[in-house]
Amino acid sequence: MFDPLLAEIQNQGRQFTVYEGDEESGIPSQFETHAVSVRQEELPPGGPAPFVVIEQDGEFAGALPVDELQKLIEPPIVRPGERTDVSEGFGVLFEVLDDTVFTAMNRKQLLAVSREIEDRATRVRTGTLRTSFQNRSRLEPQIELYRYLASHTDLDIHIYGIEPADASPIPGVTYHRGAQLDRYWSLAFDGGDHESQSCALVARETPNGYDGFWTYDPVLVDEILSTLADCDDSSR
Amino acid sequence: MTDNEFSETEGDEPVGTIHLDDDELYRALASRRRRRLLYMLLVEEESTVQKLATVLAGWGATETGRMATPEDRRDILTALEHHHLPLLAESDLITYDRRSGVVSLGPVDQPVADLISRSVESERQQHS
Repeated sequence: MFDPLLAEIQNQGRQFTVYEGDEESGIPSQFETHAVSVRQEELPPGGPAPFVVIEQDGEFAGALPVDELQKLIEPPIVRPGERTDVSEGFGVLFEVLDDTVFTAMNRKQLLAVSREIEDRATRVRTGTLRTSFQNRSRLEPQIELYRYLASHTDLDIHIYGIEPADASPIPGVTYHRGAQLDRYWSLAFDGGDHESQSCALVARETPNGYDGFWTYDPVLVDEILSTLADCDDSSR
Repeated sequence: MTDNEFSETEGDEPVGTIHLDDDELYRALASRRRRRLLYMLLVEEESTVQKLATVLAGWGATETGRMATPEDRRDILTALEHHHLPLLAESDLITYDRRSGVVSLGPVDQPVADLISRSVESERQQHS
């Protein structure tokens, strides 16, 4: 279900080329889990200091010295102004840095990200929250939270992966069977009245755990919400 | 070049090899951008105008400490295509195929190669 999206997230046409000499900058491993492909080119010893070329869809977006890049990626991430008025290279760089992290994740990390998304929905109290559970046992520990959200907020709540007939009904919660979703762990919240609070998680079970990403990019969150909504095979 | 001089070098190097006493060489080296370009070709032997422009843009960024923009690179590309590469090709230091964009280093002897390397390397030492 989410496979095309996951493939797209893995690099999104972004490429970093690190030009460096014998002394390695460590940049490639720092970006290993980010949505960008990174390759290296060798610089001769008398050439320039190491730098990184940033490309989007095969087009040059910018080039930045490695030491400047290091300063930017050490937390807290510093932004030279708002995204709209910085050069293309920074635009791509910050997309890579903060929108989407594609990585291997274990259950503990997935739970932490899931709690973060549910927590945002709890605070905002409006909007749509869609959550898929791989099976009923995964829903059990969370059921009280969803009961609370349904009764105390204006959230439109949809739960996937649960046969509606088997579920204990909660007013304000719509169950969907979502049989296509059984390999995925996914949550998406549209941010309600606060778009900046939108966030989503998509992970796919692999033989070794999970891989996937989470995002605060409203466009991507919207895409994930629609994918979940399309699994509306047996509502109510 | 007299017959005598020519026969001295004929044995083991290609015809048209650039030597330190070729006047054209100094005109070619009278630009930082061209020296860097030749230096890159010494290492890679063959490149493309696109790649050369990218590396020169990155090289520039290491000096300003700022992000090189697509406009910066485009300006470099234009200067390479219309000025630097034709000039270097004219002096036989490189061959440049306009259609494919492939740029290759022409035959240069070792002292010329050393001169190019040193001119670029000393520039970096001054900056660091």
